[in-house]
Amino acid sequence: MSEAARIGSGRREEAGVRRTSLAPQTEAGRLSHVDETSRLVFSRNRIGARQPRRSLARLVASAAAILLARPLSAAAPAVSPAERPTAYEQLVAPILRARCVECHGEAKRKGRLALHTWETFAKGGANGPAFVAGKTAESELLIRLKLPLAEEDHMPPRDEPQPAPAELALLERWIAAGASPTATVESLQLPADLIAAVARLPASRARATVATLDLAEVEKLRAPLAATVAALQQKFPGALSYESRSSAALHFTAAGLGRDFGDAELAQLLPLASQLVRLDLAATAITDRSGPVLARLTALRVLRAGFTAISDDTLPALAPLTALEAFSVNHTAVTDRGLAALKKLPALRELHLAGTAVSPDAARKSGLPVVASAAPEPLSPPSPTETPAPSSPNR
Amino acid sequence: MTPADRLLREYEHARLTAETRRHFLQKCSTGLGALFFSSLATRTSAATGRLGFSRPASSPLAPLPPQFAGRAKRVIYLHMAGAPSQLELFDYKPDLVRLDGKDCPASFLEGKRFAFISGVPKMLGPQFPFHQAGKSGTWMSDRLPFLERHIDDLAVIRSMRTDEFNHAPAQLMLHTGSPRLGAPSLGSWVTYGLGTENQNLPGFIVLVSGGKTPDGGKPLWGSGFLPSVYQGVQCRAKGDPVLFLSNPETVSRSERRRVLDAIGDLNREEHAAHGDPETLTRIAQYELAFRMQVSATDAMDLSRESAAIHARYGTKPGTESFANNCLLARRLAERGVRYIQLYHWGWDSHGVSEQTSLKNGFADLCREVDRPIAALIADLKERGLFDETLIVWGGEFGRTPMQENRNGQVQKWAGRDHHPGAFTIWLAGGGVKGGVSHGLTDDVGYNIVENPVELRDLQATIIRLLGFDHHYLTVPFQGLDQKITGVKPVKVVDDIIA
Ligand code: HEC
Repeated sequence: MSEAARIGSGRREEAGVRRTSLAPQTEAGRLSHVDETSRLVFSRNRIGARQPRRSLARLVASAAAILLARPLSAAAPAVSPAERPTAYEQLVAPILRARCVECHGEAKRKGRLALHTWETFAKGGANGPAFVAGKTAESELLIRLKLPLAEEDHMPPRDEPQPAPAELALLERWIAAGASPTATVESLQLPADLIAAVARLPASRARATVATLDLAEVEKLRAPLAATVAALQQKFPGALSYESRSSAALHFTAAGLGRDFGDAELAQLLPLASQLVRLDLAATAITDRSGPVLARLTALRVLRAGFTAISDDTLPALAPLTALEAFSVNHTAVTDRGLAALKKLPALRELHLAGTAVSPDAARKSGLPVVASAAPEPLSPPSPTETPAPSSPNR
Repeated sequence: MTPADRLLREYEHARLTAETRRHFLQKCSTGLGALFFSSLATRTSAATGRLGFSRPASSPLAPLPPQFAGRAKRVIYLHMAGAPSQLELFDYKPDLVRLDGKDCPASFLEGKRFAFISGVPKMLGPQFPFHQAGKSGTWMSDRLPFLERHIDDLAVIRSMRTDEFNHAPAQLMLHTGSPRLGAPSLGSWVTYGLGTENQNLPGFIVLVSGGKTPDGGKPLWGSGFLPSVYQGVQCRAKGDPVLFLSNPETVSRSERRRVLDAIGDLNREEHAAHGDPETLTRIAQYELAFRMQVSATDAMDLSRESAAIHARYGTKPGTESFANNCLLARRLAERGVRYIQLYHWGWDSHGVSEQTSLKNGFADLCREVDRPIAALIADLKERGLFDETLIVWGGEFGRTPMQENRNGQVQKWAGRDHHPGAFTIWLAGGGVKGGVSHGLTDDVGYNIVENPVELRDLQATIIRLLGFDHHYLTVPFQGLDQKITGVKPVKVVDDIIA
């Protein structure tokens, strides 16, 4: 095992697993990441990671284990510097996993480059190393990421989801700082919004599992809004939750609130603006008066507002929603006139207009990614074949 | 024994069990037990950070975030109870046309057990013509013309297999991971893991059609060793959506409220004394039922849908039908229900009657489900819900490439026997790669030759799409961290994940 890999293996207890968490298990047990075979790997705290058992024998044994294993004080052991979360594991690897490993991993090694382990990443591809420590301008990976989208060598290829600017910035900072597998997150002195961007990463497309930040890190990201989130969760039961246990991004759905949820209620979500990525307002009582509120929810990726009183008047207000990928205004009063405003949304890839007065013609001409409304199903099935298959006479 | 005696006895039993447990816990407040519990206390707040799953008992249905961002937020499972023939729908076997009416090779029969086939049966060719559909060129028969329009959204797995060849155990195996009673169903696991978005409706709802409850019965949506708050709630398309939900005629809603408050206080006292999580479940269930008196009636009321929608699904409010249940499924999905399970009985095409023959009863069933399923997909798409709703379709096992010959007799109607060795299911929607065919069976569709998918693989894949690694959706029970996928090796079907 190479030096880096050894450092990378932390206090691994599972044999034969390629990669595992960097930081030691703390009292909490922590979310670590997932390796390519998508087996979650985590080092087990001697007793910490297990649920209490029912049987008395187990209780006694566990209690004895506590006595033997750790001081009676509940304080977590100090984390030594070598065991702090590294920027590679916590920030760089998750980006590579989410954006690149599908083609540069264990299964596929396009350009003979595999980015799924530190060793293979450091080794580079057919044309040499993927990065040169400290030299951003000479690092193939950065060069390709920054090429214009139209260039054939651009990575990831044009049709694939592209890394967000924050992700690119993170990779750049890490390479500039020496591309070390052991540099800690702290040592890079990153602005919080860069770290937050990784927390919002979509799950890897190939494996749907994604490396995550240390739980303590997640808690830190959640901390500024934690009290607000808790209060709103009380107020709107079932409606507000984090996107995942490893993320600070928030989802809000008014599915259970219906018409009791209107403009005044929506305004109460404003403090969540920086973290609210998905908002389901379908069939609520919101109106065009909510336009200015929606305009400030700039982290939104998904907005559902079908079956509401939203009209063309609200659409221009959405221009600041530059991250918006999916937008539904089905069964609203939206018309052809409103479409123009939506062209300004750069990330939009799905627009639902069923049940509106928007004409198919205008939808097509707009060039917007309108999801085709299914043609009404005719009463008789389309051309059922009545020719019987060969079979013996008695059937 | 009079009912009163029985009640008293039951009470005495419950009191004694609680007593012994309380006794034990009190004893534990000193000594080794105390050490253990105090360490627990310092850990619980942090315990939410464990990879292994834990959920606070006090809010059993509150939404909890998955481990990683899920691709699907909810599941609509369309179970075709009785097991539809894959050889008449998705698994095209031209060789079987040639072999039709010929004796089944002995190698197929050696060491095999069948539900009804005996002696040497004849091979049975596909009863309907097949063609390639959609841009993906997916093979399918002509029996599902409406669904065909959405074929490029489907991931078809032709290499499903199971260990069970009788309906009830096979259905249990599919939905609970075990052929025996007592394990939680997938819907229970999912609501336990994720909670539900609508606190006025159950998180796990079951809708049954086809004139018969599936053979596996209510344990198919039981919560097993999970708290009973996670069991599926069966709703009806006709009459009261949930039995015994409305107040008795002379009881007003406010009176009901006062009764519930009083019972709630008693239950909280009980919980403070004995700490049984089932007591919390009871409080939660009473409260949910109270809220459901209003919300369930609204959610289940199909008359609120437009004529266009009814035309599209082929629904008739006030009847029990698969079409109605599909439309209800969409209404429930819209309202944030986490797991919506449909069962449609009748696919047990043995060929012992016209009803169970492939040419008649089976063809009718295809017609019955085809249009509503297509309508459901189209409807979800239009509402922007398709991408976040996982739809699963299939039966509990497959059917033999041989014609059934019950008691060694040649039957009048063409039918097929139960076959656990290969069958087809499809998935669509939330996180599923459309237009994909996965797995391959041999030339007659008898054995799997490529990419076999076990039921536990399917379960793990569903759980994955919802944002969990199945290894860590666990609950401690009988000294083990139990999970639906059990202890055998599991392979998530990555090929069908978008
Ligand atoms: C959809 C597949 C796909 C994805 C996703 C993808 N790549 Fe590539 N990559 C390729 C292919 C194909 C090649 C080889 C062809 C070429 O050299 O342009 C390549 C080549 C490369 C090379 C050159 C390797 C060498 O030495 O020749 C680098 C560096 C690279 N990719 C980086 C990345 C990074 C970083 C990401 C993620 C941000 C990424 N790629 C995502 C398909 C992909």
